Amino acid sequence: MSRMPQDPWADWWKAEGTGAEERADAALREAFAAISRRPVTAALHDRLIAISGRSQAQPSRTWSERWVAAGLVLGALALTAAPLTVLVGFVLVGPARLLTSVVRACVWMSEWLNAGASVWALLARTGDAVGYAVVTPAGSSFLTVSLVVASMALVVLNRYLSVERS
Amino acid sequence: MAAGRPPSSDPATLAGASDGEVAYHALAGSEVAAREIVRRYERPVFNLIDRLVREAPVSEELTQDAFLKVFRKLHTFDARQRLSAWILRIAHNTAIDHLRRHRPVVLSFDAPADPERGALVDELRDDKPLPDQLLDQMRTADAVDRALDTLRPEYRAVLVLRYQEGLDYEEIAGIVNRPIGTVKTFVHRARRALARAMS
Repeated sequence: MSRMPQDPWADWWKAEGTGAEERADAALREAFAAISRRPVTAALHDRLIAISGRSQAQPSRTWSERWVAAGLVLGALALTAAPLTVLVGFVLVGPARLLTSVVRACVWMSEWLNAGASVWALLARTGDAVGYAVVTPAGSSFLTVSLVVASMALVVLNRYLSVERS
Repeated sequence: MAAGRPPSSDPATLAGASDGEVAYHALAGSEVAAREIVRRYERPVFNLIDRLVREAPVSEELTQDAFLKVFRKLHTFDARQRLSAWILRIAHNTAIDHLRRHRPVVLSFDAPADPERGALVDELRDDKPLPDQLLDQMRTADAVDRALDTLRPEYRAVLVLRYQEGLDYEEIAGIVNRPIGTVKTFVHRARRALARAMS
């Protein structure tokens, strides 16, 4: 590199030393043109071209991801709405009748399952207990909040996992 | 592609087409357009990533990752933006993600590498006085190249984007995801750091 006054590095150096912002900016831009760049190898270029060819599959991939996301959202909404049916039942048929029905249903189911294998009996008792817990205001509120949080987590995970996959 | 506009160029001859048109055709499934994107941006993308990572094999791998993301996310490209800035932002994020995962050791010219010793810049000044011959050598582009490697990745990125890729502050701010004021400060400090590294 020459030491002539028009040497951009010398210009930049001088401008930087005197605090001439604009001149330093312009000179450095000119000087940077001389900095070597590692070249893109032929092998890398070929791989990038191959990647560009694969990008043609993009639309179907986008659609499939949209379908997955839509399914997740619908599933989450359904799960979230499920406990609300209990509350709706309270309003439509009255709390006493609804509770009685639910309890009877649980008892019948429990008896039917008791007549079968012991695994079913266990499931019946578990369902019975869960049923009792869910129909309480605190239980259904807790379940609703849990489902909403879980659904949101699923949606967010689905969104970020697609980024990770890329 | 948001705010896409109908193409005015023939998909078979995209060499002179605008970035928006190339993106439009690529999204429509044109392999020619996708190759044109690679042709236009493989050098700046590789250069930016390589400046930040400084390991050729890793830089190549990250360049591939960046282009994969470009093509997978092309449908989110807003044609009102510059395609170059959008692609470089993806490249920058890819490199920064890699650096965060691997946390490289960066030599600082401001802080001493060893607490019992002086700052690196002082060491250089004290131990290596600049004779005429050395001054000549350090004025070459290669010396700048080496000095650049000692800067913080954030500084390297803004210097490359500003002075090698010729972008304005607003575009750089969009790429590195920082306010314009911060970018201007980074550029100023990066220039100072580069000057100190070469002094």
